[in-house]
Amino acid sequence: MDLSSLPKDILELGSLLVSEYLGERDVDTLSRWFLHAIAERLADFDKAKGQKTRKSAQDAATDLILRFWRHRKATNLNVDPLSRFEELFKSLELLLPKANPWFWQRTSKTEKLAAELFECLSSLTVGLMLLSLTKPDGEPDKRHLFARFLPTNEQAILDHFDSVARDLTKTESVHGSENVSLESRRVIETVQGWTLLARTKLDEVDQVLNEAAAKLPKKAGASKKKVAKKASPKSSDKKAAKKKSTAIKKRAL
Amino acid sequence: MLSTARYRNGSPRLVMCMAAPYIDCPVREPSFLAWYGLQCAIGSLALTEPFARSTYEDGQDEFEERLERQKLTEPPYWLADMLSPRPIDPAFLAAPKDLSMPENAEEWFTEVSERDFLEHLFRGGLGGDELVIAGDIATNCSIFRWEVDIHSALVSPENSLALVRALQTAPEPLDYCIPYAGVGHSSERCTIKEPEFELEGWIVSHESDERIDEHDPLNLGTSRTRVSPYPSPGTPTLSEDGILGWARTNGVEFRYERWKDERDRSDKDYEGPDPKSKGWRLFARATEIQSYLQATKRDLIMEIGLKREKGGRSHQRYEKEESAGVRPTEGRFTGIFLFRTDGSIFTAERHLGTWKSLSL
Repeated sequence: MDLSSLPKDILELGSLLVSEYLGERDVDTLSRWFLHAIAERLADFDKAKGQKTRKSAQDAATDLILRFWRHRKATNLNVDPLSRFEELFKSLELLLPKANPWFWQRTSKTEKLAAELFECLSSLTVGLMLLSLTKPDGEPDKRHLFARFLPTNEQAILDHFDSVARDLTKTESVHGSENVSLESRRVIETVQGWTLLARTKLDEVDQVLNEAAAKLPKKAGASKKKVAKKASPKSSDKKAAKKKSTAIKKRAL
Repeated sequence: MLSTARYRNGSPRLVMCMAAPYIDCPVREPSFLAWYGLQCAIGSLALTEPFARSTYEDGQDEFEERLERQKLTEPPYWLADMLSPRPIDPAFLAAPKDLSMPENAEEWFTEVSERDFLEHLFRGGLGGDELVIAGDIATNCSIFRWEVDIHSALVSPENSLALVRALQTAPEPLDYCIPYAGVGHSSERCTIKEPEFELEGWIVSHESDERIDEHDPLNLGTSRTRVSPYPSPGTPTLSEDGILGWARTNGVEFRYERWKDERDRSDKDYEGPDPKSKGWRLFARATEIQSYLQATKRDLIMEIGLKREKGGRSHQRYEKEESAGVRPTEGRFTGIFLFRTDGSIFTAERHLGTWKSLSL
């Protein structure tokens, strides 16, 4: 977006920033200082008479507004529309291959399983975080204006997450209705998929532990039992998992 | 040398204090004099008798290190010599109307004028030619008490008025800070270096461990020099009236005064009817400051905090507060002022005039 070609919109953005954030209590002195300076420039523009003076006042105001907008990620005022997804972005790092402690070391069966389980649980965590997103703040018009001043890549990310958040928050009241978008269904299905896979992997962990326990002297039985109990799933198909676990145990013994 | 009688009256303890760091050193007045006397005696003895040498783990000489702590706070002057008489500023003499009248109390605790603030910014009162750029002043008596603290910093002129508005409209003064210069927490936390949005300190704050002259009864419990110009213009000189002065730096001759009417009481606050005052101020001639601001292309932002309370014993004040119901019993105010290079003074709301001619 060529920001220099939109002076009216920039002034509108400045007015919105001043009206939304100037009254907020914050220890970020620089941001408050910027907002007051923007308010001053906007007032100068309103008062200016004559084409040349107005143009000069407009330029001063737009320059300052865009400067503050570039500063939006550093401010405490929650001006950046993407700031509400900050925790999610941080958690996405968990999905990077380098985050997996077993990524480079999958020689044994246990290590391979640990690597898969890590991947599975971290994906599940991110999926759950997506599901816990709240509704977008502010009125749609204001959000739209803020979004227009984001770089294209950030705008796309915001649109995507906003749409997911909006639809997922809707599912709380109208779950299963046609109002839920395809995107949200996909998120829920993906989370369900990771949940299922996590159960399978936990069962495999259970099995590995039982095998290891079987090789121990007899006295270690109590400890083995405790581990098996702790690791058993507590979901709807708990019984099936328990049955399977018992079968594995018997076989091991 | 110490007399035998004095030696018997406590000097063994003093000797132990010098020798053993784990014994509390004497700080009460009689002990201070004995302590000082002992130091003189040891000084005489040191001319003829060598001391045993001992060092800390890091190789530092123990005697030198301990001696350093027993020197003056700001050599070559004693704190007591740096005490000045109480200034005769009208603001120090001002008293509220009878606070037992609810309407008077209401007014004193809830209303403050620009004049109330500005009187503290000009040494000698409004119309004075010296500007106070930092200070901390307190006055109390059985009827009322007030405290004033003053901070200042340099600000880039392009958006200085916006900063005044940003600070004046902050819900709490703790939400922002006026930076000191030099190295330290205040400088790191409060300095702003964004082009055209620059806020920087121009005086440096001092804190240090207690030294021997802080226990001198003649200093009335006054504190060390709290602030000084930055960058340091060197060691200040003391004038006869107890005012410290630094060599002219950047065209400005900064001076520092401190006063204290009487020593603090250890068991209770002062409760007499005559107001007692204590405080310190760093100040300089307004014309010199203005020239300096013009040369550095900076405006001067000033923050004045003013706190007003009822006088009397603390527990009585609290009792009165409870019985007063919703009536205010304390007032806290903050004023932000901008002194511009062209000589004008602004608040967040209006232009007050010039440094020389105020329209209040």
